[in-house]
Amino acid sequence: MNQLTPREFDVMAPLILGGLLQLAGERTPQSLYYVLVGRKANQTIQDVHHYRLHPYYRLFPGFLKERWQEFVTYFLQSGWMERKKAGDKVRQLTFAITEAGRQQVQRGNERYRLDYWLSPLNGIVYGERLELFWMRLHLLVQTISHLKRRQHAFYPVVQRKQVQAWVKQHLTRPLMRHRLENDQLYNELLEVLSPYDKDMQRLLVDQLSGATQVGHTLEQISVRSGEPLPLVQLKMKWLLTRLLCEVVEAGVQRYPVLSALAAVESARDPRLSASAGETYRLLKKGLGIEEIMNRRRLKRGTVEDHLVEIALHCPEWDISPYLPEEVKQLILHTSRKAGTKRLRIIKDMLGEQCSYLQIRLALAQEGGMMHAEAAGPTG
Amino acid sequence: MQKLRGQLDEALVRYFGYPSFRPGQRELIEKLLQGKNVLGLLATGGGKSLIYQLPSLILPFLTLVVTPLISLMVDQVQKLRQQGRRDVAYVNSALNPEEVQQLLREIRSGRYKLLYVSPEKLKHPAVVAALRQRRVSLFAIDEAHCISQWGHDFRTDYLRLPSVVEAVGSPPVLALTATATAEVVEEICRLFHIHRDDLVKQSLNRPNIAYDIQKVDSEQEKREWLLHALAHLGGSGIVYCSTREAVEQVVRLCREAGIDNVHGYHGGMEAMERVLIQEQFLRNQLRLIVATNAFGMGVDKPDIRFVLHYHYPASLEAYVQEVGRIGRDGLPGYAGLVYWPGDTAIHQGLLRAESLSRADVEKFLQVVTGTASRTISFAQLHTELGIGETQMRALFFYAEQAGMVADVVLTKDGYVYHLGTGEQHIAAHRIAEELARVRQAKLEKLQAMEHWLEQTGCLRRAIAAYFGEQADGLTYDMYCCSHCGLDRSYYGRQTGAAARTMSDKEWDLEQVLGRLLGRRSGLESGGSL
Repeated sequence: MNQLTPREFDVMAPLILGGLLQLAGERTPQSLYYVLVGRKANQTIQDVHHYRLHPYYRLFPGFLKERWQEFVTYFLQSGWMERKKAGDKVRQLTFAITEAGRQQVQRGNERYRLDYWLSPLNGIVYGERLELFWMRLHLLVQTISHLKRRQHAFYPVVQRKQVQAWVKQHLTRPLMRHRLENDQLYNELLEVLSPYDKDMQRLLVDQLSGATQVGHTLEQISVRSGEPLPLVQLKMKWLLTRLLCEVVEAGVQRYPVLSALAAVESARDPRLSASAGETYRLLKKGLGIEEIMNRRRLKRGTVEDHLVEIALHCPEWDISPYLPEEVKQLILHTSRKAGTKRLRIIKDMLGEQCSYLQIRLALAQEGGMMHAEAAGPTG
Repeated sequence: MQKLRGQLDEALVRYFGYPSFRPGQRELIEKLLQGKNVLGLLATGGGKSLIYQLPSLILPFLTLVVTPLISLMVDQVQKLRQQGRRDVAYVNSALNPEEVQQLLREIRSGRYKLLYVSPEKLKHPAVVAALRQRRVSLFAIDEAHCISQWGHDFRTDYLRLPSVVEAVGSPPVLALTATATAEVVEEICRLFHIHRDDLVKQSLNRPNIAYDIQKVDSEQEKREWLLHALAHLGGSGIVYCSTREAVEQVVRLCREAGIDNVHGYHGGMEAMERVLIQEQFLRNQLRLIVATNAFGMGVDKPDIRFVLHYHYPASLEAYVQEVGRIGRDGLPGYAGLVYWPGDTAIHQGLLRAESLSRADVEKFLQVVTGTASRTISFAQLHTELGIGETQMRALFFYAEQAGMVADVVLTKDGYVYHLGTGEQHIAAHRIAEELARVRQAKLEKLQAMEHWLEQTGCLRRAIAAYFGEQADGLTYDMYCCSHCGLDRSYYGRQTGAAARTMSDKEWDLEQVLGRLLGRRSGLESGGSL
């Protein structure tokens, strides 16, 4: 994604404006950039939860900073976006989306159904898992395709070593091998893809490689179908997300091979970063912030960041020692009343009644909860 | 000797399936097996890898191959394994520490006979120790011109190689390069103790390639030239551009002109995408690749019919390497370059962007000496100095030479080092001087390239003369070059089959999937990746 054609821009502009809409009046435009590229910093993760940007997280990991600047400049010049002060006491600037900007978002939805394609996406939950699922699928298809034709020499499309090792390892398992010999992957792919339109099926299958074809890039598919590249990328994410959810929901009984492709094998808590996971382990053993700081030789700020991360992702954690229920309610009430999630403003309003950490914890837990509900039964 | 000859011929047929050696190959191998240090000057596509791969089957201990090209080592190891060789491996910075440890154990245990290693890995004492313990039978150095500070591709890590050769017991050295001027050859021979008689030279002349330069006055004329050439040339080909942006622009230009069977290729693209494009090209599913110089290394496609240069390269060495990919099958091919003098601005800009001022050097030394942990990440250096990885490597190298730092080790996260005893002011001066010299050498390469473009004599002879070859009696198959006269239409006759795209109506999920996954034809047992 470098220089955009007018048609590509026509998709990207409303897509980005739609994300900015959620952040208007609260954060800088830059924060959306970090969401789009999938930065792992706590601030970015919190933004995603607070402002419900789950579909946007890691949507374009290779998005260049220069391009981003061009978008912002263009939006400002076109009068779709305005710079604005966040509040009286705060010097930091935020922005507003104008009526014309909202119309752009609306137009993108009408023209390209952007809202529809975005709705099932969730980069926080599925981001890397989606990529892994896709790479494993791609390499497994290529491998089977060649083995069936007794061709042992082929150049693996997926170069990532962990993925190669994974496929290799699974191919040697007797049960898996038995299934693959009996066209199980073919049957499962047929079943999982059959509910979709032909162009959706083709979007996925055209990209696969094997003895009979070398996969097409999304760019080539966009040339063939005449659709702008970003839209094709978005549709592919949509399709993969739907497939992954379907496989996970239906389970091993129905999709034994695809379920294996979708599984995450990891000893550590997949919801947390490695370091925060370690802090969580110590918290559960009953250690306090000070003790964790000493034991792990971490700064206070780092451990506090971990607590916020845990509050976001682990609803089972008993937060009360750090955030009594009444303080939490007070913070949430204040936040709602002021119509903001900005720490500084809330802190100024509550003064010594609570700490910054407590505000962050309250907002984090609330954000995590909201998301759990939103993701609810439909997944 | 006779017995050895027979052995070599037999191995050639048995392991490689070739009936006979190509020029220079046998001579180099025989000299090596006699224990001599040799330098092979072999044209791109001249069969360099065979010269170490074959002896590695015969020699008792390890054959070590030093190469800076990670893609090449991955590619060759993958191919050799596909052919059934289990005794090959590679070590480079892309491996994590545990993988390296595991490999070193296996090396010491004698599991491998052919090992590829990237030059920076030879800085690690543990690696050198493992090699010494295993014993090295042959020390091959690919892209040997990288050792020359006057070369177009100087790599600081190469300067350590002579001492590594000694450290592993001074086995015979095989230095290989496709492109080296007389002075670079001299330097390689001096550093690796190679006798003049042990220099084996394949002529760089490629009789089946015709050279064409078209001088134009504007960017617009360049585009017209390119589209005209693409509309008339037959077979598959590559268009080289100097920047990623230009690649994308040219791809767009082609598509707008109705040339659909084209794809861009550059280092900024995703790994999977790059593999797909390369494979499509190899299997003739894709006819045209528009690329930066990131494309081509290790791409073994015999029937590339043309290479076009939308921008001229930064040196004649690079040019020869890029057009050398044409017609490895021996059939006629076309090298066309559209020359617009205004493009010099791109090269000047790139040179400027990578050059470091005295102030940069001083700031670098301050950061390095001022970092208490003696560990600096790429990101930190990048933010504080705004420099790229190549520049960091050069700076650390010269800083070590100037005694400012010692025991510099490159890890996955950045540089780890100790402080030296050098005096900062003197060191800064020395480093800045060295850097200026390297920059000057690059500038001269660029000027030589531009001189070649401007001169009016035979293009083929001028290339030969630049590389210090006999310029008389050079042969060619069909046409020589645009200065001697050539018929461009000759290269348009054979046309590659256009890839057909299925219409949506014809496309059927069951059919395509069934064909792809070879339904009900049984999975062969014992298959492996």
